[in-house]
Order: sequence, then C-alpha cells, then structure tokens
Amino acid sequence: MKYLIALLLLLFLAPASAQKKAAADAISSYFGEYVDDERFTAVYVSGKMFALLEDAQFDLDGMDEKEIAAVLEVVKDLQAVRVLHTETTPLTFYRQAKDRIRTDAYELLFKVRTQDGQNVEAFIQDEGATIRELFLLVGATDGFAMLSFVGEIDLSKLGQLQKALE
Amino acid sequence: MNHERATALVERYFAGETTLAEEAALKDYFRTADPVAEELKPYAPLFGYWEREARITAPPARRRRRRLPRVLLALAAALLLLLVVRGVHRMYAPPLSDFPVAERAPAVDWSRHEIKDEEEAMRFLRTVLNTTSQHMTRGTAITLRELRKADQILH
Repeated sequence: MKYLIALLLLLFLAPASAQKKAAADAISSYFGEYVDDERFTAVYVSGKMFALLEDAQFDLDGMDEKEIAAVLEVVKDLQAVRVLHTETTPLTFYRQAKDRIRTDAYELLFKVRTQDGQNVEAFIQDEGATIRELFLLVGATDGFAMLSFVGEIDLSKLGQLQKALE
Repeated sequence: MNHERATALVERYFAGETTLAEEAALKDYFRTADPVAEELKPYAPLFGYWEREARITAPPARRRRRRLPRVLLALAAALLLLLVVRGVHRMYAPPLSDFPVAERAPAVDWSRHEIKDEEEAMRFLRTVLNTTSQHMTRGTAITLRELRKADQILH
C-alpha cells in the first residue's frame, strides 16, 4: 500500500520537477529578443552535437589531437552552449544586460574590469553542489558578447583547458 | 395400528429386523396415536425426531456483500487525496502574472542558429571555450590578487 501511495506521489510531483529541469538558460530568459535581432550574431550548439562529437573523427587545420581531446573533456558534461555577439553599441548593451540579471537566480562569480576597457562578469546558477549554468557577460568598446554554458560545469576543467589550447 | 402391533414392531426395530414400510408405519403410529401405549412412551421422542427435524427449515441464506478489493479502494482514496491537494494548491497558487520574468521570456527558437556540422561545431567550441577559459583564469587571478591585498591589510 505504501509503495502504491509513494508511486502516486511520484507521478504527481514528476511534472513539477520536470519543469524545473527544463528551465531556460540566462540568454533565453533575459535576452530572448536579441536572438533574432539582426544586430546580433547567435550561435547554438546542442547536447545532441556534443554526443556526435565524441564519436567523430576530426582532421582540422590548426587543431591537434591533444586540443580536440581537451575540448571534448570539457563538453562531455555540457547540454548546450549559446552565444550572442554584437559590435553595435556594445557598451550600451552591456550596461542594459547587467541590470537584467536577477541576482536571486544567478550568483555573481566574479567581475573584472581591465585597463583596456574590457568588462567581464561571470554568473553561475547552481543546484546544490553542482553548477548548472555558467553565464558570462563580456563588454568592451569593440564588442559585446553573452556566453551561456548549460550542463554540469566543472570550473577547474575550464581553467585547465587554456593550457591545452596554448 | 394397535398398541400390541406397535410394541411388536418396536422390538423388531431394535433387533434390526423391520422393513422400511414397517418403520414408516411405526413413525406414523407415534405421530398419530393418542395416547401412545404406556410402555412405548420412552420411544416416542426417538420416532418423533424425524418429524421434528423435517419441520426445521434452513434460515434464509445471508447474501454476502460484494466489496471492492482493498487495493482498489486505497487507489481511489489516494487519487482523491491527490486531486484535493492539487485543487487546494491551485486555489492558493499566485496567478502567472505575478511572474513578470517568466511572461516576458517567450520561448526562443534556437534551431535557426544551431550548428549542424561537427567540424564547424568543434572549431566554434575551441574558440569560445578558449575565450571563456582566459576570462575565467584572469577573473580568478584578479580575485586571488585582491584577496592577497586584503590579507596584507588585515595582518
């Protein structure tokens, strides 16, 4: 009997948890109108592509096996990568974007402003100990970009990637 | 049947020598004789037994109430409970308009911008991950530097 009730409760609660998991990424949530804006370049790589990459054989100019392996190591736990980029009034877009991020949903990881006028803000959205999304806002005089990585993010792997790609 | 004949039949009855017809006659005697011969009175209950028993009728059979299996009843109860809980939850849930962000964000169709070619995807990921990695490294380095400064001030 108790198993029956537990099963019913599970069925009852399942749609709610499924909705939570299907929550939109930061770009879709706050900047959806820019995706089809002609001033922006939008690029999307889906989880399906990451699965295909694992089995693919590459013969790319400028990329050796070590670099490919390093990229695959990072993307193997990702579900999607989304990028929006524009060179039109980048600093205006950057300022507007900063005000839209809801701090109760995203936690500011760091904020950097360099002497050459480049601004970077990194946000994370976590579920317990797991980072579910890494979201970067990059604003400079020559461009504005938003980068969203959804999946199980391992920040240490991202840090190590730079060494492999150098 | 007279008393003498009845007495003789009773003796034969206990000797096991009576026929079925004689036994039926004996039963008839004890039922109808009034009075029964004095020496045969002790046997009257024995031969009256069949008549008494024949009058006994079985009580009307009790109809067994058909009951649903307990599992089905529990299932129905659980479903009812869930419906009630869901109804109450919906009654007190705030309307969607209380979530302006959710309403403001319509479904975005990213399929138009999706990279379908594996090599192109790999080149794109290399570039974008490299940029991100640089930013992350720089951000962490600056954070650590600021923390060291703060540490020096405190000590």
